[in-house]
Amino acid sequence: MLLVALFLALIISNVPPALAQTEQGVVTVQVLYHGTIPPPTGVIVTRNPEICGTQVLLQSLTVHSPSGGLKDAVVTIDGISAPETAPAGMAPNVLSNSRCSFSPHVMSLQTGSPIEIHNQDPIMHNTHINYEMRTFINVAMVVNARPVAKTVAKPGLYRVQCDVHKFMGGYVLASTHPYFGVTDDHGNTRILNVPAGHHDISVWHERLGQLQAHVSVPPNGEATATFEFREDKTGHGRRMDR
Amino acid sequence: MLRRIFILTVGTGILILIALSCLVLPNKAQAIPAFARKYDVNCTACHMAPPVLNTFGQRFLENGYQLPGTEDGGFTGKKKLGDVTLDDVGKYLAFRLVGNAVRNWSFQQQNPAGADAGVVENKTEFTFPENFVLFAGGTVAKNVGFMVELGHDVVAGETDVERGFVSFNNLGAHNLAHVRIGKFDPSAFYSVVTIRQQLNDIGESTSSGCTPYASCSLNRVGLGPGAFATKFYGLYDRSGSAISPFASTLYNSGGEMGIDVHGRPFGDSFLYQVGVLNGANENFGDTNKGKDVYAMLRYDYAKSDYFAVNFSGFIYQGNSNVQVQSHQDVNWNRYGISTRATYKMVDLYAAYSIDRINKVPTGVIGNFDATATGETIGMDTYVTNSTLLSLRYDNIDAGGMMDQRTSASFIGAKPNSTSAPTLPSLPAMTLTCGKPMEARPPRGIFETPFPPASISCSKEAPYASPSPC
Amino acid sequence: MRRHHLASAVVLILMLGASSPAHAAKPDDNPATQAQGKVIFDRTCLWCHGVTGTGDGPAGRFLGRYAAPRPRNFTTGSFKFRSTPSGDLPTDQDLFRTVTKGIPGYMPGFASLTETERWQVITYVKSFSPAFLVETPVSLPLTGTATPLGPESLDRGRALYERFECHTCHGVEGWGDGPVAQAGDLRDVSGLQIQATDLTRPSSFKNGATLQDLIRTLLTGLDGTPMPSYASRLTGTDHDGWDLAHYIRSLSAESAP
Repeated sequence: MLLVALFLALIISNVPPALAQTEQGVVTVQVLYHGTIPPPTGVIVTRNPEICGTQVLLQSLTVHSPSGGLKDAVVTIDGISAPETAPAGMAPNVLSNSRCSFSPHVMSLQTGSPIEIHNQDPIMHNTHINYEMRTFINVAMVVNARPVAKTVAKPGLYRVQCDVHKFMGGYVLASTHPYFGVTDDHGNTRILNVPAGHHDISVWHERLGQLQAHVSVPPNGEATATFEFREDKTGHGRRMDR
Repeated sequence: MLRRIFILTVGTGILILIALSCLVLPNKAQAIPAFARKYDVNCTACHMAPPVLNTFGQRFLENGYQLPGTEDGGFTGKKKLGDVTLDDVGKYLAFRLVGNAVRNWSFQQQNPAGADAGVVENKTEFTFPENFVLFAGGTVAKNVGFMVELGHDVVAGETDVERGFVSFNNLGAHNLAHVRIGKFDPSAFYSVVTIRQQLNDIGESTSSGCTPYASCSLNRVGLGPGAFATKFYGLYDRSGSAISPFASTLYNSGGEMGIDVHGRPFGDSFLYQVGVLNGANENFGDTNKGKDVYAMLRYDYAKSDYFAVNFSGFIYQGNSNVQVQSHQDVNWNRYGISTRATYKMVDLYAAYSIDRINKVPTGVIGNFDATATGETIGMDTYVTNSTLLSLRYDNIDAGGMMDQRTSASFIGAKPNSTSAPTLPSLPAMTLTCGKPMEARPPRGIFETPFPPASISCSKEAPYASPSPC
Repeated sequence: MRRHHLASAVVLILMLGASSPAHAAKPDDNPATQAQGKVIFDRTCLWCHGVTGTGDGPAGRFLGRYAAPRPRNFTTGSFKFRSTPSGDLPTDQDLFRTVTKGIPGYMPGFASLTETERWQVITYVKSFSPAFLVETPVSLPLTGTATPLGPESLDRGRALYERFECHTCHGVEGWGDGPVAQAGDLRDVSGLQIQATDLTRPSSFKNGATLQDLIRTLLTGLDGTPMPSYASRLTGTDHDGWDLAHYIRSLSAESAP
C-alpha cells in the first residue's frame, strides 16, 4: 500500500511537460541472463542451401560471455508520450534480408516511421510481417528488388517471417515515442533525451518475456537499470540512480 | 415347425459375422455432388460428411435447394437460351455406388448352424457395387425445386424411385411455407435424419421360403437405427409379407408418397412441419385405407461460435397402415424426440421413439405387446483432416408378438478415411457388437476386418464368444 | 500511340478497381443499413462466418477441417481478396466482388441477393472490424499496357515466372507442387496448412482467373497467406504484369474465362 502511494506520489510529482522537454537525461540499461543456454536448434535448409548454408542454427538466446549480457532485448520506457516536437524527419528503419536472416533480428521503432525492407541476397525472399492476426505487409523481394517502405501506424509487436525460408524470423516492436533501445552484443543499450523524472521501464525478449523496473532520470544526468532474466523465466530489474 | 411364428433359435448361441470388407477398395462412393457443381463449392460447404448436412446445408435443403436467405432458383448456375432458362444437365445429375468391393465373411457361429443360406463360413468374395443410385436435383424456377433419386439394386436387378418430389418454396413470404409433393423423406428436417447413417447398413437375415402371415426364422438381427426401426414382431403388409422389425419406417422411412409443408414463420428458432402420406410402409404395401398424418416441431440454436444445437419432436398417426397375424388392420403410431449438437468438428445426435399399436385386435390379444421403444445415440467426428470416426449405439425394446420378439442393442464404430473431402471414402474398418437384452434371446453381429483383439468391446458382448469383440 | 496507352491505362484502372459491375444505388454506411445487413447476415452468412463474425459459425469448421481455408474472420481486418496494397483493408467494391462471385470451392456466389442487399450486408460485415472506421482503403493503380497474347509475351512471362520464383510454391509446371508447398511449410496466419494454388486449374482460382484478376492478385498478394505482393516490382512496368498473367493462363488447358 505504501509502495503504491509512493508510486502515485512519484507520478503526481513528476516533472511537468514543459520542464521535461528542457530537462533531459540518459538511461543506460544492461540486460543480463543467468542460466544455461539451450543448444541451438539445427534446421536443415532445403531451399537455397547455396546461399543460406546447408544447415541453420537457430538460437533465440544470444548471451555474451562472461558478462551474461543478453542481446536483442527491447528496452522501452512506459507510460510516456512522444515529445511535442517530433525529431526532424523520421529516418527509415532498414530491415534487411541478408544471408537468409533478418537484419536486425529485433528492431524497435516509433510509430509514424517507416520500415524499409531490403534484400541483399541473390535469391528471392518474401518479407511477411504480421500484427496480431492481420497482415502488416507481405512483399516479394526478388533479386535486386527496390526497397519497399511502409509506415507503421499501430504500436505493438510485429512478427517478421519469410514463407520461403521458414527458419527466418524477426520482431519489430513499435512504440508511440522515441524512448526505446535494443541491447547490443554485450546486453547494453542507452536511451537518450529522456525527460527527467521517474519512469517505469520495461524490457522484452522474444523468448524470456517481459520484466519491469523504475528509474529516476536526473536532469542532465544518467540513470542506470539492470535487468536480470533467469532460466526459470523469473527475474528482476533494479535501478541505480545517479 | 408347424407353428407359424418366427423362430428365433437362440440355443445355438450367437451369430458372429466378421466381414473383412473394403480394405483396399471403397465400399461407398459418395454422391458426385450436383449442388456442389452448381454453386462451385466443395461438398464440405453443405455436408459435415455426406450425406450428413451441416447447418448451412440444412438451411439450403429447407429453402428448397436455394441458398439460405435467397430465392436464387431461377437463374443461379443456369443458362438463358432464348426465352427459357435451363440448368446444365451436368450440373444436376449425380450418381452413387453403394456396396462392398471385397468382403470376407467369417461366421464363427451360425444361428442355427448353417442356417444362413448361401453364405458359408470363412468366405472371401468380390462383390459388385450393390446399389447404383442416380440423382437429379436442383431448381426448375425461382422457388421451385426438385429431387429424383433412382436406385438400382444390382443383385436383385430391381430399379426403384427412392425419392422423387417437387417443392414449392417460400409461399406467402420468405420461409413461411415450403411444400413438398411426391415421394420424399418425411424426416428430412428432423434433428436426426434417417438417411444420415455412416455405418455400413447390415440387414437382418431370415430363412428363405417364408409364407404370407407366417413367421420366418430370423438368423441374425439387422443393424439399423433403433429409434427408427419397426420394433414390432408379427406385423405384415397387405400381401401378408412380414415387416422386418429392423427396417426404418413411418416418419423415419426415408421415402414416402405424400405432401408436406414446413417453414419458420415464428422467427428463426422454430421450424414446423406437417404432412399427409398415403401411408407409411408403402414399400411394404400399406393398406392405405386411410391417410397417415404427422407433425413435427423443431427448435434451433445456432447463434454461438462453433456450436449449434437443435431439438425436435414429432407425432405420427398411422391409419390402417399395417396388419397383424390375424389379418386385421391396426393403426400404428409413433412419437419421437431427437436432438443434435455440433461443436467444432464433433457431431452428436440422439433419437428416441415410442411406437404404439393403438388398439390390439382380438385375434392376437393376450400375445401382443402394443408398445415398443427404440433409441439411437451417435457421434460423428473428424479425428484427423481425413478420418471421420463414427460411433453409434442402438437399442430396440421390441414389441409385438411376445413369443417372437427379440430386443437388441448394438454398438457400431467406424473410422472412415478420405484422402480428400470430395473423394470417395475408404473405410478402414467397421465393427459392430451385439448385446442381448435381459432374459431375452441373445443376438449379435460383428463385422471387423482387423484382428478382433485390437478392439475390445467385450462389455458389450458379455456372453461367451470366441471373439473378444 | 501515346493516347492509346493512356486510354488503356484508364480502362485498366477502372477494371482493376471495379471488375464486378455494381450500379445499384449504394446505401450509406449508417446504423439503419447495418441493421438491414444484419438481418441478411443472420439468415445467410452466419452459418459459416459466425454470430460474432470470427469465421466460427456452426458449419465453419467442417469447411476446411484442420486445414486452411476456414471462413473469413471479419474482426481482424485481414482480407485476402483486395485491390489494395498488402496489409490494407479491401475497398467496398472488393467486398462486393467477393460476395457476388463467391470463392471457388469454398463460398457460393450470392448474386441472388439484390445489389442493395449485398451492399447492406457489406456494411454489416465491415462493422465487425474497427479498422474500417479509421482506414480508407485505396485501390492500387495498374500502370502498363495490355500486351497481346503471343510468343514474345509468353517468353517474357516465363522469364518472370522464374525470376519471381513462382515455382518455389506453385511448381515449375504450375501444379501447386513447388518444393516449399511439398515440404508442407506453407501456413496461413492462424497456422493452418495451406496449399499453393494449382495454376493449371483457373476455375479454382479464388481471386478470379481473368488476366485482370491475375494481375490484381500479383499486385496485392493474398493477405493472411504466404502469397506476397509483387506491387513494388510490377508498378511502373509497362507489360510485365500482362506477360506473367498470359504465361500463367498458358499453363492450363481450360479455356479463358
